[in-house]
Order: sequence, then structure tokens, then C-alpha cells
Amino acid sequence: MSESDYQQALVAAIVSEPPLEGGTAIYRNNWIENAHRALSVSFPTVKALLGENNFRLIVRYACAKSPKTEYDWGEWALDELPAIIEATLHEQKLLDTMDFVVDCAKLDAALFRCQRSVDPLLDTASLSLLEKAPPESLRLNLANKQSLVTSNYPLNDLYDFVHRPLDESESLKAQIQKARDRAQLRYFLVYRTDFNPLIKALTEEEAQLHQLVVSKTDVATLFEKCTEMKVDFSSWLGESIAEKRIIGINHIESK
Amino acid sequence: MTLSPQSVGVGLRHEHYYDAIDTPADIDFVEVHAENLFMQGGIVKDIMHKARHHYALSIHATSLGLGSVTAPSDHVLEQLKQLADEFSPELLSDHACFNRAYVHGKQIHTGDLLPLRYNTESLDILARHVDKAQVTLQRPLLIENLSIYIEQPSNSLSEFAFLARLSEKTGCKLLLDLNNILVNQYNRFIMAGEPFPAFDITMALDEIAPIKADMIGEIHLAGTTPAAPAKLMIDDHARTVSDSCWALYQAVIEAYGPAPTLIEWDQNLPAWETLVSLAQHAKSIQQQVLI
Repeated sequence: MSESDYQQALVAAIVSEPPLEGGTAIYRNNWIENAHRALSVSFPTVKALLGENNFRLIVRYACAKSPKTEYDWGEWALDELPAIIEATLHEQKLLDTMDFVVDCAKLDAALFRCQRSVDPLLDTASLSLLEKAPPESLRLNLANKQSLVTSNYPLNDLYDFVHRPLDESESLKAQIQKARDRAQLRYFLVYRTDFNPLIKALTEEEAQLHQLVVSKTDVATLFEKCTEMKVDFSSWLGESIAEKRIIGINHIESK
Repeated sequence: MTLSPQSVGVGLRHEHYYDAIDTPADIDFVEVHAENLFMQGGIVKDIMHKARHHYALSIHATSLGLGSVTAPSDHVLEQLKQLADEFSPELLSDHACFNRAYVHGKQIHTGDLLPLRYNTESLDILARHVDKAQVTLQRPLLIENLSIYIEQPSNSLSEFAFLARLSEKTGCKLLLDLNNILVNQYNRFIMAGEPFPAFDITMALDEIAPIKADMIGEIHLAGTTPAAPAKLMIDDHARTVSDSCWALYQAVIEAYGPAPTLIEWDQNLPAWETLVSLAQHAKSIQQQVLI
């Protein structure tokens, strides 16, 4: 047996379904436990909402449906897990009552990516461009790995309930019911001012402005859009800079 | 900067990050897992820069899988190089293992340390990839011996003859994990269906006999949870360094001289001070031997 055949056979045995015995079973167990450890770190809200047993079920589905193909466990399944959770809940006929978990998975992935991104550093010198250059020639720079997550549920409240409960007497069930009663499309921005990622609920107008900045819209158009939406451009920009969501201003490169 | 052979250190895991920087301990170095620093920013990197003021650093990778038939990606080697450039570690290591293979046309990464067979084909593969890594990293690598849970009947070389030849071929040094040697000694009996008599330090020394003193770049000491009867022992790093491991450590130092020594404890972590005291115990053994 060549080394290639040997390696392929062992990896195939580890990731396959049939029960294993002896040493190969230890490698199978390591694989599942490493996966569980990795997803517990990257999806802590999902884990808390589902509970240990259901979360382990999701980990097994993730291992089967989206096995790790890259080196770093930290990068594994960040994109895929929300869809895997959705499919699993659908299969278990739980999606109607637990669909908020899918949105929480998207939030967890956004928080995890943001936490590991380049530390936001404000380029204060660039801000003076606003006074020196025509606004149609400028664009705003977003800090790295900000994400806009949309949901019908108050994800920030659910996150706080799981990780920073103020009222220990309130049950998760009651909290979710309260969220369902207030169902409406909401926007949440995940960003960092320092080391810990934060969640900010945005208005629809602020979400639109964020998307325009993401699409590298020039400052003159942003200003017009603010006027159209009755948003104070200066206040919005000032707050965005103070929170290091916008970390500088650049000239738009001529085409 | 290079570490003196008498250096001692501990594995720095996230439970002890603040202990390590708030109350700097009387140890020479700390070891961190490379993959825990594979992010672009964030608090862990900030803490590690602070820790760097107090300690020399060993970066221990677990994900390169250098014995895999497919070469390590340029991307992951570049990622490790950036990390090494950022922190300038005194030691940089990974394992003599593979971790990935193509299954149904897709490359699967198990994220584990899977055992190689010890033969000329696997030696050539591992040596080629260690070379590639050392060229990219522009630093020498230390390669660690594994604990193994499956039988390898088709080996044509002993584990340490294999590693000695790897060191000769690539110039890499070896990270000698003494607990892995003991775990393998135990598991060989279990896999053969025989009762395990007792750890045999002479047998362990005979095993590592093919390596030369100047090949040893670092030593790992650890303990494991005792195995259930007739079950394989799992190298879980969940206990204090075992008496057998200390005894083997003393014997190895007597035979080969000291090398930077690390206390490796990854699960059920004790207090920071306990880890530090174990590192200091390692230093006291070195001193006893050297006197």
C-alpha cells in the first residue's frame, strides 16, 4: 500500500459513518471533539440557545455535510453553519419555532470574524480631506470585517439574554415569545471600537447608509442620501468615526 | 535570541493569559499554539505581545500536517511566517504527522495529528515538506514525535531512526515529547493484547538511541489520564507530569544533556503557579544532573 493509499484510507475511515473500534475510533472521537470545541468558540450563542445535546447534533451534521477542508479550525463552517442549522431544524420540523437560531448563527459568525479582524485604527489625518477636496472625489473607509445582519428578531436582546442576563428570572422561552410578538425586520451592525465586537441596532436609514459606504459611494452622494432620508449627515458621520466604524477618508481612484 | 539548553517553560493557554502577564513567573519561556494566533488582530495577539516582554516564546503549530502526501499550502506557510515575523519566537515547531487526504475527490483536513508509517517513502514526503516549510519560514523547525493509537505493521524504520534521518536530511531539530514515548510504550502492549507490566525507562532510552544529542531542540513533559483496563492510553495532557515521565526526563538529560524543556498541560488546567512550579522542578532536575 502506498503512503497515499494509507493516508486516504485512514482519513476516509475517520470521516465516514460506520462505527469504529480501537485506535481509529480515538481519531474519529478527536475529530468530532475538535469540531465541537471549534464551533463552541465560534458559535457560543447558538450553543447556549440549543443546549449541549442539540448543539452536538449540529456539530455532527456539520462534520458530515461540510467537513473541514482548510487548516484552521477557527475558519471552519463560519459560512456554512447557519444553512446547516436551518436544514437540520427543517428536517426536525422545528424551523417554525426555532428559526431565530439561524439568525443568531449569522450573528455569531459575524462577531467571531470581527473579533479576529485587524484592530481598527483611525486615520485622523485623512479626515481633513473633507475640508480640502470636493466630496464627490472622496469615499469613507469602513473598519475591517464589519457586518450587517438582518433579522425579524431582536438579536441584540437575545445575545444579551444569553451572555449578559440582567433578569435571571426570565426564561428563554418567554424571551423568545417576546421577540416573536415584536417581529419586524431589524438591522444589526457588528463592529469593534476596541477588542470586543459590539452589536448596534440600526434604523433602516442607517442600514442603507452603511450599505452605501460598503459599496464605496462618494461622500457627495452620501450627503444627498442623508438629506433625502432626513438624517443629519454630520451627526451620523461623527458618531461613525467616534465608534471607529469609519476609520478614514480616501480619494476615489480615477478610472 | 536563542534559548539556553537549561531553559524551562510552560504551555500558555487562554485560562492563564492574564496570570502570565500580571504576575510574571520565574520561567524562561512560554509556548503558544500557532493556530490560536492565526487571526489578524484582537485581544489574544495584544496579550501575547505583552507576554513577549516577560518571556521567550515557543510557537507550536499543530495544523501543517507536513507528512501529508499533498504539500502544505503556500497560504498556511505564509500565515505562519507572518506570525513568526511578528513575534520572533525562539522556537518554532510542528509534528511528524499527516492530517489531510483526498476523500471522494475533496481534500479533507482532519485537524488531528495522524501517524505516518515509518518508511523511506513517508520520510521523503516529510523531508520535502519540512524543507519547503523551513525555506518559507526562513527559520529552522522542530519536529515532534507523536503518540500513536493504531498499529503500523508495515514500518521499515523505527520511529526514532526515522526522525534521526529526517533531522540529517533537513537540518531540522527534534522536539522530544517524553510522555508520547511512554504512551506509545503502554499502547503497544495493549494493541498486542498483552498486560502492561510497568513503564520501562531503559526501553524508552533504547528507543530514542538513534538520535544524537545535537538533534534535540526541545523536550516536552506531560501527564495523561490513566487508561481503563485493556484500553488504549490517550495523550490528553490532562494531568500533572507523571513520575515515569520525570524519571525518563532525568535519564534523557543524563544521556544527552539538557534542552529547553516545556511543561505541557492542556485540559483540566491547574493554577498558573502549579504549572510554574513544575517548570521549576524540571530546572532542579537539570541542575542535579549537571552538578
